[in-house]
Amino acid sequence: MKIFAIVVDNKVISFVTEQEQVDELTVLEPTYSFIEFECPDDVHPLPMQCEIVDGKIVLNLE
Amino acid sequence: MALLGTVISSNIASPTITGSANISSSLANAHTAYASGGYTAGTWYDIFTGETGLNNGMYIMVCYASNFTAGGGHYFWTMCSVPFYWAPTSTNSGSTFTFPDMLGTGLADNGYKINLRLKLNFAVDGGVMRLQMSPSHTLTGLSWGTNGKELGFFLKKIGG
Repeated sequence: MKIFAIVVDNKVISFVTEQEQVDELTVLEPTYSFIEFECPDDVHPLPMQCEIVDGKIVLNLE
Repeated sequence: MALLGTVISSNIASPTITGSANISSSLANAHTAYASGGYTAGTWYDIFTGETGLNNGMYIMVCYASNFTAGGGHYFWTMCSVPFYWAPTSTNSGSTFTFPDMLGTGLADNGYKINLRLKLNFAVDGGVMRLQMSPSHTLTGLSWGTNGKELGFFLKKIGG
């Protein structure tokens, strides 16, 4: 499924799944930025398991 | 050296615990509230107030948060407050009592918090006591029953 990672200071802090959530957070939290990525349906990645490489999310589920 | 005062031990009923103590039973549930939509970090929101109709008594608040696709960091996480006394009277005070951090267990919290406080009002401001919550991070799109978008509050009465 497509997920939006919430990024602050080049670190992933959380996730949302709907464009409407991105729109709301963009207004409420101007310091947030978002990176869309594809995540396996059965995976709930922790923020610390997400690395940002060349502007893309790389999951490290070890 | 003994402290001066009145001996009250004779007034304390012997604790009698028989059978199972199940805090999820309907007998203990005093009030339930599910968060829906968005909540801004650092803003206080009412969970219930003096107008909710609760009786006098000792309570604890149990909070379930699994909001990892709603901007939060809780993954299947349950928290419990310290006990507190609720007296459903009108108020005439500006006092605020912030709870210690709730103790939590579950998969992960990532340092996120749900804060609680008791907020009293002066009579001219309505004279109502409120139990309020405030998230440490802005939450959006909360919907109870949707995986990753859940935040619920379960008030348990633990004594009269």
